[in-house]
Amino acid sequence: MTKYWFLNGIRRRILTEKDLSAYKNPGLLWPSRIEGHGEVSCPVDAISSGGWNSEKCIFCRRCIPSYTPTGDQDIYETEKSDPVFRKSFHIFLVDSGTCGACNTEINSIFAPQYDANRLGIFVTNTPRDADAIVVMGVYTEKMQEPLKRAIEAVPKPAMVIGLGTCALSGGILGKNPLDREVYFTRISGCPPSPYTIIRALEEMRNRRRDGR
Amino acid sequence: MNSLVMISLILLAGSSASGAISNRISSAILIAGSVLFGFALFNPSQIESYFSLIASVVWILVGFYSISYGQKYGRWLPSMLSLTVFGMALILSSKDLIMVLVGWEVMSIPSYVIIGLYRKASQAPFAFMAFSEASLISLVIGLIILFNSTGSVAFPLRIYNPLVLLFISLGAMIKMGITPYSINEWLPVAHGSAPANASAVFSSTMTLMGVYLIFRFVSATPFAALFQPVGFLILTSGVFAALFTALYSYTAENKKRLAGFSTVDNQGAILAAFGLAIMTPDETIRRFAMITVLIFTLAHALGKTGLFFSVGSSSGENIYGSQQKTDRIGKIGSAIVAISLSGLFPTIGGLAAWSLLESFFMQAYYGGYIGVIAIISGSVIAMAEGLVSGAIAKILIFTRIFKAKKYAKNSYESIVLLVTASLLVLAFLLSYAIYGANYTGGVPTTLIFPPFDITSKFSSGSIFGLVSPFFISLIILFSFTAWWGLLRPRGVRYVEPWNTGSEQHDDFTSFGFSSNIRIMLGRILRTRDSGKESLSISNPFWTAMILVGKYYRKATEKISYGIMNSSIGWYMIYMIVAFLAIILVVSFL
Amino acid sequence: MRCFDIGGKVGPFLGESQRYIIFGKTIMPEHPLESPVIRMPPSKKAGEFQLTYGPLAGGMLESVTLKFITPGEIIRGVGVEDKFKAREIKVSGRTIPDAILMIERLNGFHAASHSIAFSMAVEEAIGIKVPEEILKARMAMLELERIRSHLHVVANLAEADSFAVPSKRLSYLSEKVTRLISRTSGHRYFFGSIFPGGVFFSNRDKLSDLSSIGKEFNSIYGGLLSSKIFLSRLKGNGILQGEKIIGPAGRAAGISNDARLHSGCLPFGKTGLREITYADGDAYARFRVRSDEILESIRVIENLDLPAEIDGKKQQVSFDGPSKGAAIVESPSGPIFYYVEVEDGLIHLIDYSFPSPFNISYFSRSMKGKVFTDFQFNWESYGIWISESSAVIS
Repeated sequence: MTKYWFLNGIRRRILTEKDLSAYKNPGLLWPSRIEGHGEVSCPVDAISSGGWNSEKCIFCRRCIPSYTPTGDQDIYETEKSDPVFRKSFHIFLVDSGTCGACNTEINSIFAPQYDANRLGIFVTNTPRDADAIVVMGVYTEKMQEPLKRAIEAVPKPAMVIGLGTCALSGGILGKNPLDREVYFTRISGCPPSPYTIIRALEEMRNRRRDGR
Repeated sequence: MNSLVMISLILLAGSSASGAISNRISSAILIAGSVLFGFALFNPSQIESYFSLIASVVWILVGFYSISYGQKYGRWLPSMLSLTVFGMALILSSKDLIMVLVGWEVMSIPSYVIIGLYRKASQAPFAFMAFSEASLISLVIGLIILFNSTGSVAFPLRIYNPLVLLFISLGAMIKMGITPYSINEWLPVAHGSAPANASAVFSSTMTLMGVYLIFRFVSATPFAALFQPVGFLILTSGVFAALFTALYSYTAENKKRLAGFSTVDNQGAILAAFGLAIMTPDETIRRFAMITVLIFTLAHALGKTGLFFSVGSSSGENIYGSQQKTDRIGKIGSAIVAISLSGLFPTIGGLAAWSLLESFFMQAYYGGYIGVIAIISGSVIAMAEGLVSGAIAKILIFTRIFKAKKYAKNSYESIVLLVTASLLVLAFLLSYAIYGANYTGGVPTTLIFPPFDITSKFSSGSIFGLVSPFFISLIILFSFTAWWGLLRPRGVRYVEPWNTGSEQHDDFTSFGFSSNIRIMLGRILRTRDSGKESLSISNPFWTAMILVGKYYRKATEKISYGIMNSSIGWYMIYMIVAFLAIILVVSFL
Repeated sequence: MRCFDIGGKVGPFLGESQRYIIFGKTIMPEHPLESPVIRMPPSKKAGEFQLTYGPLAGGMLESVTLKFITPGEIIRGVGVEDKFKAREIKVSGRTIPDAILMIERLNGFHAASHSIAFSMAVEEAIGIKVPEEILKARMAMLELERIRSHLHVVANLAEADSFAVPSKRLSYLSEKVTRLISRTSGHRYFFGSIFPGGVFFSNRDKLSDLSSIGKEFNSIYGGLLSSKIFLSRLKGNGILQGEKIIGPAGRAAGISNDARLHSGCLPFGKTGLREITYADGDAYARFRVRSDEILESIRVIENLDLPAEIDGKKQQVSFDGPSKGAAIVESPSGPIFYYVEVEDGLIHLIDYSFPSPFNISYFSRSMKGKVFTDFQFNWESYGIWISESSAVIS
């Protein structure tokens, strides 16, 4: 039976989770929105007098117990919701200097549990076919040139998405590869969970159904 | 022999003589003589006269090309070139076979001189010479048998003995480059940037003489079971040569060698059509095959001339690293030539490929052992034509289009190239005339009115297949204008080519282009990894030919030292003059 | 030292750092570099040309440039330029809690291996003795990471073959294991879960999903093994033979080199761990080693008598240690070695040996004479992480 892969695949039925928020709370606390009060020693200055900054946080758990994770995964920001790419959205991934976790996390949104393909999200192998560039990782000298070249090669309107703390603020390891203002959408997390990634991409494509 | 032909022959001889004075004058007289020659001999009702027309068109083009191109090569070249043309004119205009033989030698000998003048390696011209003499001997034997059996060697011929067909074909095949497989090999070896006009004349018209001779003999051969073994022999050697030379052409790195091999490939295809014409019992297929030969010859003669014109203006022996000046007219001309040589519409080359495969598959329809032979041969030839398309694409891409280093103003030579290329399209549109009323028709329901269809059919009258050059040209023209008018991209933003984020723009080489065949057919091509270069192949036919040339040279050296004890060069000239004199004396006795 | 003696050659070759050659039980100081890492492409012969692939080649997970030398079709040699995304990670001079945050981001996919090896080296240096239940928790984490990493490699191999059903089913399992890791350690990539002196660990689920994952993987594995198309891509592809080969590549070439058994850093000996070796040394053998190790790791975790919950409280720091320590851990791609010197609670010096540079040189070596379609299978079979090989740590 295992030999007949087609039947094998069908027999497993649909494994995709219909409601993505079902995975929201049980278990996954890191990374998620952090709440609390008081001064703590934060290695990346994500918690200062102004409160918690998701784009700087590397979710290292050093602020426990003053601060606690809420399990709220919606830690992203987008300039606006643009319905241009509602039907199909092709992204090109640029690894500027990651630890590898962001790379595997963005790929895991295509795992059967999430199946981002059904939402019309695809990864392309060349920026010439892409609608948006996803930038991951910290600034590295040699990747600046290829990164700029990739952004230049995307057909207009080209969007740049910052994925992960390294790309947004540099995290603990360095500085960010692009200015914060360049990003159309900023997805926080170290690394952002597949859930956060999908929510952010859905929102920037104006496809959120629950109206939040 | 009428007076116009006589005058044209005198003009051609005069062109040869005036070559010593000026290249321009010689070229001008060559053009005038060729125009007159074509005009005097052409007669639409006589199918053989098309050969004279094709040849004279090529000579005219070569004449124009030589006006600017020949400057670089001194005065020997125009002289010898015109002498070769004179020899060919003799062959085409002669009324009997003795004159053909005389023309044969007059045509061959100047080519030895050109090889001798522009040689770098000595073994290639000797190999060429050895095989040319073998060709003459074979022709003479055929002639003797013919004379013994019929008592006459004048046209029109009557052939009863298959041996005549065998020996004459063998002699002609050697000239076409089939038997030693690589007649044009001497060109690249002899001179890196060999004169392109000479290459054009040799590649397109010298081989044409072989085709012409076989054509005359096959036309005179009636269908009989007696001739079928000879037909089979001609067919298989044609198919074999076509396949192998296509392979060697595809893997060749030397520009002229690539073109030379593709010439032999075309000759192989033509020979296969001859073989089919001899073997088939169906009269309509036989005539169709003979027309195919003519169409193929026309496509090849014009296409090869264009290819050598195109290659001629680039420097360097090899495709890799060649520096090419290019201009827009030259690019368009090269593209059309490549399309024709690749056997694609809307050029006469496409029609030739269609016609050839059509005749084989028509025969296959009959079944029987000839049908089986026909379908196998047809498939192999289709395969060979595909490989040659790749080879031609390779030479065009890597010399004219992507790898062109410098842009130049439109040159005189490019204009001649474009004219040559236009003739390929024109010939496609006018091909109805060659096929004649028997093979043209139309399907009014599809808006193709008679006689805009070329139809392949059986003796019974039932249609096998059809193609309409007019319609194809119309569709291509229409869709091109429609695309340009409607779908032309607007609002273009130019960006750098995307090479996986790297700033390097790697050079894909012509060698890499053909490595797939080198590896896949490694057993046949005997691909090896020698120390200096990777994936080198060896050509056993060429190795054998060099060997024969070596022995020939040794033998002539012994004789020359025995008789004259002087330099080999002077001996060569002496031999040539003596040989010419003897032949002239014999022919007029 | 706790794990190693200095000098001599005891046990199999496990890597080399700037200061030491590492063997199973010993480290040998002051040596000439023994295994040159092939990075530059070989020179071109007549007819050959260079094909540059990367740094942003869509087919590769990370930024890396491969320079193929080829006469067309056949690969004569390949140079791997991994320094495009080289991050400078300045660990020396940092406090221990900060340093561990950086070390676990060296290679996020193998974060547990890195942080466990580093933590153990630091623990030795500052004189912490961690209780056995923490060691057990760490072993479980290490094996969970191994299961996910191997699943990832096998899924990539199936994907390289455009074998969609097994590839998707394996990535389904991989995501399932990731969620299990998240429930066990609090983070999907073990970030912040492991530090010198402790772990965050929860066994409330009793890792119960594992047996079902093992069962499902076994059925996919059997299916893959019965697919001739899949196997013919792997068999004879990227043959690597030799003596000093580390990691799964070495075990696929018949070398017994599993640091879990040959080094005493973690008590794997008690778990009844069986070392898996194959003799052929090709991509197929590497696939078999990884697949068998998935099943073996599941068995090991089930045999561990795991604590229910460790809340991440730090152990007492005495600072009376020898102020230097070394540890080695078998990561999914090969052994990871750390040597640290600590002064006044700050990292004074760090020395290390990672498997990815070795794997890159193995890849480069085994790619010669293969064709382009072999490349992806061979590359994936090594489990190379550019983030690990390119990072410059000081």
